Amino acid sequence: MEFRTRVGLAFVLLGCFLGGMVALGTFGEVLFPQSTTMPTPGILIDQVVTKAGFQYGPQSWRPSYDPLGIYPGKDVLDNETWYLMFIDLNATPVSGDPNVKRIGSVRLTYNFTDLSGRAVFHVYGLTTGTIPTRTNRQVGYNNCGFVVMGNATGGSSMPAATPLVISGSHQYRIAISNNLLADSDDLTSTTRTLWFNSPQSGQGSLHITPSLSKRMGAVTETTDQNGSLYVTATGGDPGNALLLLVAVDRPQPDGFALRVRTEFVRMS
Amino acid sequence: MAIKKPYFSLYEIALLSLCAALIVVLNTTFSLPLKIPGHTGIYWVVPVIIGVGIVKKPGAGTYIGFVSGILATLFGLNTLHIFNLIIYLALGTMIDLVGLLFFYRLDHPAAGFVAGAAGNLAKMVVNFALQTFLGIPAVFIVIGIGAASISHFIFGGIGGIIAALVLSRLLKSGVITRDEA
Repeated sequence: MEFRTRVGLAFVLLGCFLGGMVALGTFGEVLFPQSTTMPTPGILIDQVVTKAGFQYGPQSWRPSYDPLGIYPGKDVLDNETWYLMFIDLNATPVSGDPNVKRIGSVRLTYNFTDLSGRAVFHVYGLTTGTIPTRTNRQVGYNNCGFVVMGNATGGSSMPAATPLVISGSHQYRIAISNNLLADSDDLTSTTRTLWFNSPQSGQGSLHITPSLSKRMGAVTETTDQNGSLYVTATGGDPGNALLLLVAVDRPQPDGFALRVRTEFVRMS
Repeated sequence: MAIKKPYFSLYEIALLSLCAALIVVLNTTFSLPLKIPGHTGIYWVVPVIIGVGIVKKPGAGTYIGFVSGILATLFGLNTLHIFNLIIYLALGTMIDLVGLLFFYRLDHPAAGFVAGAAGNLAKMVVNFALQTFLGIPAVFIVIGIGAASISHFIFGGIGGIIAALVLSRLLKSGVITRDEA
């Protein structure tokens, strides 16, 4: 067989192999269904936050190394004004070797009262050591997020909110709006620190998904004011804390409330 | 009494061992901030292909993989510890096979590309197989395996072309010859 023929044959074989791998990656979640899952007994938080919880905004971005857009799949849109609040979920998804870790996801159940306009959920995973903060991917391949649309009449203002300032050091010390005080750095703090070391850092391993059959996450839009979603980790898990970012696109009425419950769903 | 001639000469053993050590040195000193799976293949496959391309004997790549695997294990280069040996062996053995397929004409860029890509992909497959064997759920492994395969293919291939160009220059300058063994 001639040299050129062998080169051609080798490329054909490699092409077939790559095709097989791409197919495996595409249909992998169907071919290898997740083993049984079970919620670990006990609710990790069950808290209600009100309009006063929106401490940041109006602004068109959310924190990352470079500002990210807020609506899933969109870059920063300067004409949009969002109000942000951060909630410590008191749970983290765990990935890795099941022989040495209790791996699983975080199920978040939400109940909105008097939601006006769009509310978007994003997550931030705080890590230990020198690893930058994780967040769900905003745009591009495997981006994810969760949008709830409400039809209550909007409010006139958000008195507790002030815009977050874009940080040149790519580090943000943000206040949480629920009453979990403990922080690994400061046991009396109501703030948490997000930090990023490069563009796109930490956007590949933390996901928001409506179903555990889509572990890499998906963009969900719903009008259901009561529902649930999962936060999953693939690759390195956050380890330290998980923050929920709730963003709304307009001032909320005084009767606005969001009840958040989290539980750890173990994968065995 | 006739002395049995060793399979690899002292010169070849020295050369292959240096190539093996070079892999560990490159892995330790180079740190590309690409964060793309398989990007280290761009320099990882180069010493193996050069070693196989110069020695031109079956087993040369496997020998490089074996020695570099032991060194990587001793230096703790990644989290798989002793299983590093299998990963490095897979890469070396695959480049050995590709060398045989192309009659050791690894100085040709196309042959170099195939050798580098195949070696890097073999490393990836064995790495994922070991992760699954050690208990990582298969669903975590297969998620994204398509993109990872393509990036391993590309970076390994680029590394292979670099190695082929180096071999080609060594041939042209007369440092090595085509029939050298």
